Amino acid sequence: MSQDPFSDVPDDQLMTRISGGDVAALSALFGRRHVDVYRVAMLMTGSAAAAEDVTQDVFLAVMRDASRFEPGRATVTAWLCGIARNHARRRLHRDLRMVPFPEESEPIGPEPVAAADPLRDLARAQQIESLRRAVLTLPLKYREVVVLCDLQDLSYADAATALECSIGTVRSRLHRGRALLCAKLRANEDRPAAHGKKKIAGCLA
Amino acid sequence: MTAEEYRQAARALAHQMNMPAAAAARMEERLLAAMTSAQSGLARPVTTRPAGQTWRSWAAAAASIALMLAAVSTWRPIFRDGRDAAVPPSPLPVLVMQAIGPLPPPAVVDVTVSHPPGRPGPRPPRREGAVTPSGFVALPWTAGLPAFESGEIVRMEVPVASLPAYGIDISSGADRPVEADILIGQDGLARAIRLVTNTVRSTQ
Repeated sequence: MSQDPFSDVPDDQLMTRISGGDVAALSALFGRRHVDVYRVAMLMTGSAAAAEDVTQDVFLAVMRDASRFEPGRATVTAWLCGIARNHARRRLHRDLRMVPFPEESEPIGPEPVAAADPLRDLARAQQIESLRRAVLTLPLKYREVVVLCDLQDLSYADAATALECSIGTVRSRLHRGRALLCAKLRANEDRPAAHGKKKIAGCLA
Repeated sequence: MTAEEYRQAARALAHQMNMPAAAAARMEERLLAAMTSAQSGLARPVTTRPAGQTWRSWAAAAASIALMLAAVSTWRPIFRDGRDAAVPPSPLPVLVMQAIGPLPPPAVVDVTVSHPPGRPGPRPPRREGAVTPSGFVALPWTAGLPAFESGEIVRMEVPVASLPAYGIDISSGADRPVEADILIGQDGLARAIRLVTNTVRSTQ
């Protein structure tokens, strides 16, 4: 079994090699970081197709502009997330002009398997799905900070670099974003309950 | 949802967001191919042009020069239509009036172009008796234009055939252009014309 020659090479050095034209270094970085980039793009755009496009655009930008990365200023992940955020914003702006076909939301998680406690798993799956929907309905400037800090686990400093703003702005937006998210989740929780009560009341009448 | 539930749900949501392995493999393949081709593209000389492009660019330059010359030689001020007819003519400033003098009837100019034998050329030497009309002649359609406040004089070649349109009558035609000074007002519209070509003889 062949060993990955870049397994011990940090991201910074991979970037240096990519800027020197090392194709294998790009392959290694892609294998290591495409999941992070795709995740940010997916949570920002809510579309798998758009997320794939954004991911490709990000690595094309890496290929072209790797020399512009400054190792002391940010981590490679933060830099990539920043590019992904910019491309996702552009994509969202462009797609505003298009009217999407009405479609059923696709299940994003893994295929359901038989579980020990199906009821608990179902409740958890519902929680995750309602969180995903709530994140997608957040205003963009709150959505991106929630995605980077809470879902991508970036530090405040890295998120600030990716978003090109101050740490204080990240903190305040995150606070506001979480509050909005909380309100949306609570509203989602209340809505089925109220709907259910009405249904029951209708049945009893 | 409690804070702990939110944290767990967020972590679970993040881990669900994975690109399908096949799509990731295809994308990686495309990226590496793009990088390889970009590198091979850099190895090629990019400074030399294909042979066909050199004469094309020269031809384009020559065509644009010819177009500019044609535009300059056929330049004419735009006639104002009847909308301005109701506007009373405003007096030109004193300096221009002095240069133009009282607005004359269309001048009658005899244009004779002579090329001395053995010395063909567009600019023959000045002859005795050849009179260059001095002073500006107001263009016929300037009555309705706003008052002349400032402007400039542009020297250009005007086809002899177009002189009657400027209020200069000619007794005989010539197929070569003559030099003229055009007085252009602050609004870019021509106000008066003065012939400067020394081969034009006035028969006023």
